[in-house]
Amino acid sequence: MKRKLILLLLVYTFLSVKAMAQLPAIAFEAVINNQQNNPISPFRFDVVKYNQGNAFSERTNMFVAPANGVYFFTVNFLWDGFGCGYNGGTLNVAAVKNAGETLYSIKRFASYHEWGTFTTAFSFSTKLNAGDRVSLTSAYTFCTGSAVYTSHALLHKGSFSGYRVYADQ
Amino acid sequence: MKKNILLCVLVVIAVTVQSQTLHPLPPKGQPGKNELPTPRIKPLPVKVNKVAFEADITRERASPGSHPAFDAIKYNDGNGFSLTDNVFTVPTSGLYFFAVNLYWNGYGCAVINSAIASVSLLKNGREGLISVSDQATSSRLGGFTSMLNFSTKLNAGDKISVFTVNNLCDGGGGTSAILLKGVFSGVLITAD
Repeated sequence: MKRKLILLLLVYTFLSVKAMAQLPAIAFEAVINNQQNNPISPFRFDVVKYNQGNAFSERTNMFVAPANGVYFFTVNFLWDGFGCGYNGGTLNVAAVKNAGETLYSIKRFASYHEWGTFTTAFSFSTKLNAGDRVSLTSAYTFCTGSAVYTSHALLHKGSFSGYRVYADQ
Repeated sequence: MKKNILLCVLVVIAVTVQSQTLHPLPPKGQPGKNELPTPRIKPLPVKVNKVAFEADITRERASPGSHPAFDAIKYNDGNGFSLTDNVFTVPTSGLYFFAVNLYWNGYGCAVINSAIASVSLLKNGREGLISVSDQATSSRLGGFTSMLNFSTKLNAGDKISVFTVNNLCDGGGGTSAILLKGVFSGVLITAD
């Protein structure tokens, strides 16, 4: 009788704790601190500031969804257009799922009047399945006309951060 | 010892029942003969805490009009988005985040002119929440994007829609910017 009661208590405690347990938080931020003269896709990040849940892979520079759910991401790049000299340049930064599907993208043209620094920034939420990868690519980043110094705008700084809003059941 | 354990179990059960009793007990008194007694534990109102959607425009629209029609739903937790009116109806009050990303080209405009695309988020069909306007000059008619990011507090029943206005060709010579594809997504960040 006594053992049964203890067992009952243990089972009850286990169920209560299980019901109260929160899912582990998933959150990361990766940054680019050093100027990249010819950024390649996917963007390579210098430092991972935090990586709770280890969903961001420093090796592949991609976020890998640990479970099915809805995730939120913010992307911010600071460019310097002097690589194109007196010509204008076009920048395209895209968030890509599984290296094939464009989730969100921003295409920005900067004329030489704007050269100096300018930004490409956006945020978005998306639903991912476990194992889905999200990376940032830069396509069609080129100088209009002939390039003067390099064929690309220079990437000064960048950040890629995200967190899980909720997990599916 | 045995009594103590029994007591523990009783306490736990009492606490559980207490925590599930969300409504105060009905006032004491004899209910009328035809009156049903109020149940002590009322069922919880259904509240959807997981709300997220994404609607896509996958087909090119030469004249998107002021309310671009979405043609695909990728996911729709909480069933807030409807393809029949292209409107997101808030199922649960709280703080929401929305993103709109439209991809245009300016080939509907004459080459020497520029194409303009303005995109807004509307609340309840009249209140503008946020808008962005892009002008593609002749050298970049080949493609440009509109991006909106916005968070706002909404009540259940509020309606959010995408509104495009003044998609025109500067200086005439054409009809409008051409909408190639688009994304409209939202998520409930925190429920009230």
